[in-house]
Amino acid sequence: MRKILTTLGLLFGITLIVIPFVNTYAFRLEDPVSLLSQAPTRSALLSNRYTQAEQEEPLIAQNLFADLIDYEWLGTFQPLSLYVRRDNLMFRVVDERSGYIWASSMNYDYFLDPNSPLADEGDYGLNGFWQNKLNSPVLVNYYAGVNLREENLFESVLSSFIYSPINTPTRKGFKADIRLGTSQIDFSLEVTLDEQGLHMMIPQSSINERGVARLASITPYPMLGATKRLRTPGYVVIPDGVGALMRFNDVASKGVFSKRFFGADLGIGQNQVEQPLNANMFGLVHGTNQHAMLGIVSQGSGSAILTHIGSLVLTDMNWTYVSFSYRTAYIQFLNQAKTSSVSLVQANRNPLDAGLSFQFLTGEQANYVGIAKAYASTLYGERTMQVQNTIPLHLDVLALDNKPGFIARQKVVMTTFKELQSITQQLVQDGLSHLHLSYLGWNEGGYSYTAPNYTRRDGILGSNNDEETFLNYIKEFPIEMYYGVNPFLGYKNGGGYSTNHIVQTIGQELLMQGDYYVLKPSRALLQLQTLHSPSNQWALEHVGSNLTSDHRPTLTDREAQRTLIETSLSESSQAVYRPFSYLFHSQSLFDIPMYSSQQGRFSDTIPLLPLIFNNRTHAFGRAGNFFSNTQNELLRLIDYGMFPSFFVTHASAYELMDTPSNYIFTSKFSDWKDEIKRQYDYVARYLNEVYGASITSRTVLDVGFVKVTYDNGKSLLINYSGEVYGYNETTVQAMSIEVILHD
Amino acid sequence: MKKLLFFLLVMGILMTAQPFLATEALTTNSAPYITYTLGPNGRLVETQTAYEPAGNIELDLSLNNPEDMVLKGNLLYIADTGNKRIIRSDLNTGINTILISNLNQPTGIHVDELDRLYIADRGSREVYVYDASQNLIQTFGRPTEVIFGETSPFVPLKVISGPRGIVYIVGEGSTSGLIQLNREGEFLGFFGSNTTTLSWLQVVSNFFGITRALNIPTSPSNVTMDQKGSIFTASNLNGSQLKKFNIASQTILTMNTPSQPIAIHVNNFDNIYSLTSNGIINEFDSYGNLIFQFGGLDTGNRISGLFVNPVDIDIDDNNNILVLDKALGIVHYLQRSEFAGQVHQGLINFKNGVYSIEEWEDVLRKNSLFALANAAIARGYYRLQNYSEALFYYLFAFDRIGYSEAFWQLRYQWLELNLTFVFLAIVAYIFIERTLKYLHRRYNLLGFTNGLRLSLTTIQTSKELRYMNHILGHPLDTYQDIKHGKKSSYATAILLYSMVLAIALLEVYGTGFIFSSINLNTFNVFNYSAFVLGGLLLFVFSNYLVATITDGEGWFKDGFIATSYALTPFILITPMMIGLSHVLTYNEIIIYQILDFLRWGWSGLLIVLMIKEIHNFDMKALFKNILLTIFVMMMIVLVLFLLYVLGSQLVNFVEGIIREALLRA
Repeated sequence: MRKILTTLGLLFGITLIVIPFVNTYAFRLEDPVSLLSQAPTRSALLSNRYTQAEQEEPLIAQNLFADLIDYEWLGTFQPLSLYVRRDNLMFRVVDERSGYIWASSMNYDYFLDPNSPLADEGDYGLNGFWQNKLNSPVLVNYYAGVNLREENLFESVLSSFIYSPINTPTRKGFKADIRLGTSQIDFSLEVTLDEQGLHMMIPQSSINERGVARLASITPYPMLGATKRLRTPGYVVIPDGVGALMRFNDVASKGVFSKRFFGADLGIGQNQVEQPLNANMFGLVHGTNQHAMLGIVSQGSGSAILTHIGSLVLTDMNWTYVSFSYRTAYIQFLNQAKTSSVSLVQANRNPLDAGLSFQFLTGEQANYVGIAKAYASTLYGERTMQVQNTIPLHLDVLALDNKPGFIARQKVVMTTFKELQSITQQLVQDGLSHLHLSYLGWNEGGYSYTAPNYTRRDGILGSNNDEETFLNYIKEFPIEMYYGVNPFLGYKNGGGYSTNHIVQTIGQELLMQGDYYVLKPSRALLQLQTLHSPSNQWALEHVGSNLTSDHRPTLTDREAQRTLIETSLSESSQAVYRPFSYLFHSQSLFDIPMYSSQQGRFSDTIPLLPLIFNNRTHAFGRAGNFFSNTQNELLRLIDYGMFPSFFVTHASAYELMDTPSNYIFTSKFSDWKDEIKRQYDYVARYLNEVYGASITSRTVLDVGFVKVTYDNGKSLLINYSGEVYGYNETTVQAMSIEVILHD
Repeated sequence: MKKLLFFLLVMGILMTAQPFLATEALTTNSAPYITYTLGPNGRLVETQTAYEPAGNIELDLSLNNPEDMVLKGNLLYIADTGNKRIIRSDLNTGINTILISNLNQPTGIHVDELDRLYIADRGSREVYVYDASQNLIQTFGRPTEVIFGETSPFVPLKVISGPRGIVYIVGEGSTSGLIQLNREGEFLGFFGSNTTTLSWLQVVSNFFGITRALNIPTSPSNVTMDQKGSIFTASNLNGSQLKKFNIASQTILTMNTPSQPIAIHVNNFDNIYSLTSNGIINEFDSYGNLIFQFGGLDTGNRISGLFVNPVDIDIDDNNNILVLDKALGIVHYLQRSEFAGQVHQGLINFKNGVYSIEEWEDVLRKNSLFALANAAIARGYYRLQNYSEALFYYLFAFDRIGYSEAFWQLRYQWLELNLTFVFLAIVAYIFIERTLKYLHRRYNLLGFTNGLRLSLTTIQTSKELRYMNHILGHPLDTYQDIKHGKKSSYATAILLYSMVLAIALLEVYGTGFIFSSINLNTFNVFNYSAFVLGGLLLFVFSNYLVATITDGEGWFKDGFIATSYALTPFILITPMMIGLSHVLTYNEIIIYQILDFLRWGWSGLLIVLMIKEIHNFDMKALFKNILLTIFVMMMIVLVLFLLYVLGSQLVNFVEGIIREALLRA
């Protein structure tokens, strides 16, 4: 026995000596991140991952498929005039600057005469039913039982409408009270022209369901701006991800593009699998730099769906339209195992006023840049961003997270206030003094599994004095300090909310996202008043990119949620992650997508969102830590005029391995410090030249070679490719940028 | 088995991964899929996008259900199966040529070093060989050799040729493996067959001589060859789907894929790529370590970088990936990112014996969790004989074998320096102890402690604990004392059980890295304690129940107390093992294993003796009692489990009613 004890004693002694070798933590990595630049392949530059060069296009003096014969003039607000045919409610908008006619219907007679100059080889043509459909001012979908059916105005002899003109000094147009024969659904449709452009409106109060059919959706004027096959070159502008184009290409196999604005509605059981449509707008271009139309969903965008049907998919036309969804079908599970279910249709109609506005552009404005600028003017008015002496840098700083522990969850401290101050000081010393900081996981318990509780700061991060010292320190500099909060989710095993606060789906389930319940925005927004934030600024997660209908205790549709969020956050100086357009007015916008969803039917990726934000608000791209092709991503940032961003912590990301934040695989500030400065300096060298100026045009000169022109007389030449390009006297090396003065 | 479980887990993760539906606030990817790599402890972690979508290879000829492709320099050969032809596309010039038409159903092609074209024609059941000017020079039909077998099918799907013109054919239903022909078309034998495993039912049937249906091995579904001529196959199995064979048809490396692989390719520095039917691409290094895993299937919108029906994978000279899509009739192009390029450079250097620590540290800076980088740095430091740094990085990589080796070196260094002092310390200890004892005997030096000793010995528990010492030498006497002499109490037994629990927990938390096998992050201290104590109590209780109906003489108290004493070896040996786990390496694992065997074996033996003595059984009764005890334990667990299931159903039901009432109120 004694011997055993002796051996044990010896062994423990040796162990004590050996253990220090083992328990040394934290990396000692100091070198700057190296750069192995690599140009994208030609196939990549020619794919829909990049913007493509414009082809030589014929001049389109007039719309060959529309004329003003039989049309009655209703009014003119320069530069637009509105004409109507009372017998079928079709209208024409004439752009007086170019004489170009924008029509709500087309002349489909080409197919009757094979020798018609408008006929093309392989035309499908249109039968009487289709002609009626495409000449109808509205397409209405309705549920007969649970079956979805469609009706147009000229399908049933029982359908009728009453035309009444609208003629006030500020508005000219007409109102039509429509009665549909088969579905027995009535509503009124207003089409008016004013100083701002063309408007369409279907008031919620005018909708009347006389029969048993229940209204599913209404599509006003589906053929507005439609073109035939390749007769009119052009494209559709889609706010998908960062922005995308679908050029008219006459390919039969590409199918129908259809997507809800503002992402999927989890409340009716949809799934988000792609980049959402981030803004309530779309654009049509008929001939680049010739004629363009911007469509804005001014009312009801929460329930609107954008559809584009290319030529040869169903018809010979390229048509693009917005539908308003009033009801949806869903599956109601009858037991918890989800083995038994019934199909049902939403009982109550979404109470939304549907409204569309159109603006028409011509000449140099008639392209996606002009469309984005016009949309930005509508959205922001005169507002421009507050310019500092240099472009900003956004840092996400993770303060604290947690992992499974011996008994309760164990805290993993990543960045305390003192460390945050040290990080800031080091950056300021390096000249990076214009910072937008979002401090995440500062609340009691840390980042994960604590939502929606943001009333108390975790003491482990330092004393109140530490916090005040830091906040006082940053007052000297143009540094925004946002406290990251997410009161819109509630951890399933946590507290701070009750069942009544959880969003319920149409199938009466409590809505979950991962380990969290989705909370009602009405309640979450109220919470905002009580949150801890000495700087009074929050970086809001989740709310920017999630819009969900709520079905209990009463129906709150997406439009109502959208309006609530927009108005509640309208005057705040908050930052929002990945926002939809109703939050574009926020002070800072983080993690803006840099790609579209790259569907096969897209032809280009364009910087639509960055063009909207340009010189209006500070918008930042995705964190530079996670770049896999650094130089390419930097070129993209500069091309798009977006500001750089990083995710940093004081401790190594290795510590996050067992926390729910383990998708952060690199973040240690001391590792990234030099690289942050290098990347920032690179971006700032070019963007400071045009900081505070507005983009006036963006042209693809050659494969992977882009020229972006600003209104301060400077242009940026960005070369994504591995080739050397020349522009006038300027040579642009592979994967680099040159600044030139206007030619 | 562990690997299988791991990959099932991986599959689960991949299935649930939705790049755009994350609750987190960050975009970490520049592709429509998440890229994973192997992190510490064999778990998958996210990493930078390794391959970005880069459009398609432009082909002005339209493809119809193509099945196979092969890239030779800039020339891409495609088996355009539906159009019954072979086409060639020059990737530099973009010129496409129809090489051979009027085939029947060409499903596999291969181009050898002389630019001869091998075509496996599934429809005509023949393999054709064309020379570089597209003249048919050979046709291989079904082998006529007797050893090929009379009933073996010959339906060639894929074909490759190796050194000396040997041809390997993947045949449909060719369950014996690849069909190996020499350059004349003579059958050489089957190569690289998959093995089968017997289910336990079959094992039992075989034992009793019952004939059951034979297991038929799965035929390989695709084949490739590296530059040295090693054959790699992909098969539709439940594990080890990818195999590397040596020339003697022996498996020398196996890899797992998350789902069924349909194509495999080895690049010019021996990295292995596989493509599964659900669009997941795995890249392994030449040692079979997973480096990258990414990809996925398209859900209808033809998203760039996602596949509809991927059938083949190839790698070009810049290490970009080509994926042939049968349904779309296109070749997807995925471009290697700078980050992946950096990892590749490290691997190439590593193969060439260059241990560039800086290079890997840079990778690690970009991904702190990258296991391969940690392991590579550790190996680099090991080569540089900087063992403490190596130890450090092995720990991060959770590489126990490497850690053990580095630790061995460190211990060796330490012993070299300090061995003299260790021996001196031991000698000094023994000397001082002996001297003190002698002096004590002679002069009662330690007499002042007598009072303490006396008071200790008079405490009941202390007295009773001394039986622990006794049981090691005289177990039978001890049990008799416990039973008849009432020499111990419930209190002491509870103290012993507490010690067992404390030591079991100490083992979990205190065992050195090399010998510890429990992941502390998923370890639940309450569950474990309940398991240990519950298990012991269950045994004592079940044993008592069984004993009462089989004429056992012992009471519950006797069993309870005696069992606690029977665990003495566990209580004594385990702390020794914990201590040793910090100083031993895998070289001396036998010591650890012997101790491990000793504590369980000894404790087990004491328990068996305990049952016999306490209940006064003969051997037959003892045997019966043990079996019945185990049976009763199982039954109790089963009943408890049923109760738990029914109980939670009830709770769910009540909860549902309450929730509904609250909602509708």
